[in-house]
Amino acid sequence: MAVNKGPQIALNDQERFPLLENLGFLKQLKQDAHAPSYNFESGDRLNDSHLNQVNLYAQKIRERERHFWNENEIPEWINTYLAWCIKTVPFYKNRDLKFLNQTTIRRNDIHQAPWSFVSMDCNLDDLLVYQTSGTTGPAMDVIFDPVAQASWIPQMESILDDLNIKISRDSNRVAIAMICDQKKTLTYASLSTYLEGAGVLKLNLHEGDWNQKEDRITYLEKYNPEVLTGDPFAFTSLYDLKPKIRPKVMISSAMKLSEQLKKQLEAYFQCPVIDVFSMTECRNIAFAEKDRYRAIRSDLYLEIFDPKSDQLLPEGEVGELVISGGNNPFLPLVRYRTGDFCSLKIENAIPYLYDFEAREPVLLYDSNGVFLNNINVSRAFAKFPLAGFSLHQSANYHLTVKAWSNDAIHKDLISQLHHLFGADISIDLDLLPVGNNDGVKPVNYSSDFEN
Amino acid sequence: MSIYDLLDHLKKCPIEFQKQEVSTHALVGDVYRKITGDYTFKEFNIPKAIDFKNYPVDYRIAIQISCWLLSYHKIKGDQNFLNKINTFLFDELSILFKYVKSPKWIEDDDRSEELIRLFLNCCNIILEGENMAEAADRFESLSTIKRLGVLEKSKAAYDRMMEIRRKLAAEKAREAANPYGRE
Repeated sequence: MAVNKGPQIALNDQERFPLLENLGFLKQLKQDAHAPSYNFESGDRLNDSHLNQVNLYAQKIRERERHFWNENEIPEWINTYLAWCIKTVPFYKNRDLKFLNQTTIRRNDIHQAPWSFVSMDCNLDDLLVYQTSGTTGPAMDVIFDPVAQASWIPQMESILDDLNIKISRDSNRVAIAMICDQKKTLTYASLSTYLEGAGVLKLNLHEGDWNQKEDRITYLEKYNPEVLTGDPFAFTSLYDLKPKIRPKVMISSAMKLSEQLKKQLEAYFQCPVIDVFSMTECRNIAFAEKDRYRAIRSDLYLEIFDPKSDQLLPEGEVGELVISGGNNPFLPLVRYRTGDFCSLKIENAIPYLYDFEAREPVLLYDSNGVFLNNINVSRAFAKFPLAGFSLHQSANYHLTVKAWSNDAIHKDLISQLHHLFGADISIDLDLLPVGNNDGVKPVNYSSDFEN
Repeated sequence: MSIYDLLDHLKKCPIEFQKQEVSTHALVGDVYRKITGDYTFKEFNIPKAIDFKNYPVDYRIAIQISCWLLSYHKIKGDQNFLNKINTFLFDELSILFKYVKSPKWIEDDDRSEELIRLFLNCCNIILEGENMAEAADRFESLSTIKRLGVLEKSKAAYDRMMEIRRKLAAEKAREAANPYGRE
């Protein structure tokens, strides 16, 4: 197994943006007097062929006539897709050709051997990888290519089309800003070749990333991004800053967006706020529409399975969401268990997820009462050989932690928790051997503090 | 260190190392400590994510027997050496175990030597009285993979897997960011 490494800076701008000739705006974004101290570089690496594929994908996914599949029907493409997987993807080799006979796969299957999911059709020069934070499971390498990476923008556009919101193709504007508020995260200024050179920023609102804390507002106001993406924590921090910006839309993901925060954000920023359900393994899946989530991609087949057995559940029953398909040949998915729970109903050939248990934001505090984003815990724990862990914080800040590992890391985990939460925090840590966490989510946060 | 020393050592592999109830992870940890000589050392280069319990029994036992082999008193090294041992245990052996039932590593002389020579090959060790060409020759003559002819097709798959794994570790592939923000 390859030794896990974090993100690296290794390319030049020519390699990052093979098709963009004028990178002046990128330099401006980086060298602006109020810019944050960007700590990473990122480019979409789209060449002619890639861009062509992204444009074709955009056409397909943004079709106005949306017909996914009918109730009790399997879309025709799934059989072709499965046959291709069996023929070209080592993990699926020797499988039965009938889709309904497929067993489900789990995150751990990808975690253990991500290379076995890479189709023989893939050009390995296109291989990209990033490590997930481990919000819902241990850190994991996810492999993809420039086309799959760039496809998140057309996927987003397919949602915005219904609201008649268009993202500009303007090489002097910031089209998208991804907002974070974490102690430490990757930040960068980039451009989108698909958006004809428009700016894409990844910003961390944490004060330590900026020369002056006021720069956060000045920089955002100067570039006034059209689309803001982030999670509820980041958007709350953004709201608290009260920048005078007018985004066209805000897209929240990674965890459930409360109705109250949505209204608050919409009132202040004067734009729609959309709650999107997405996963690193396959990007956008669905977006919230009243009390349900509407699927956005006809290339993802959705099913509901019993969480404990390989039993397909009938429409309307709550179970684990299982997905097949996607457009990433470096990680083709056949009946992949998402770890999320809901029921499924098909209406007018479009799937809707009901009773969806999106990841609730969890409030955690250090011993001084300062809010601590659980992503910091996930990141810190990623360096330990853990199969999973659960962490609960009581109202008196006491931590109850269960962790699954076969290594003697009790002291190290306690030390890490004290580092994060403060030396005087009280902790009960139960270190259990791997294999005793049946039925428990690989990573689970909870607290007595209400949202 | 000669091939006979290593064969003699391997043949004395205790029965405990050939049982599936043994903690493979603990054995690997112990042998890494012994090789580096640092008994307080915790951050071995054992790939962290490995959950040995999910490995096939024959593979786990092949790793355990290899741990006994690696416990030979003259086998010492540093972190770089452990990286090579990782290649031996977690890359090369992960292919070979499928074709050799685990007891054969001890009982069958050729398979014993093959296991030893696989280790030597991964770690670029040339034994006393041999040169590089002789070592390569002998290794090839023992190769199960070659003997069974299994890897004409599998070899391509194996090479591709190794290429993917190399690419996964390459810095250029890792200059990638999650567009939805929470890496």
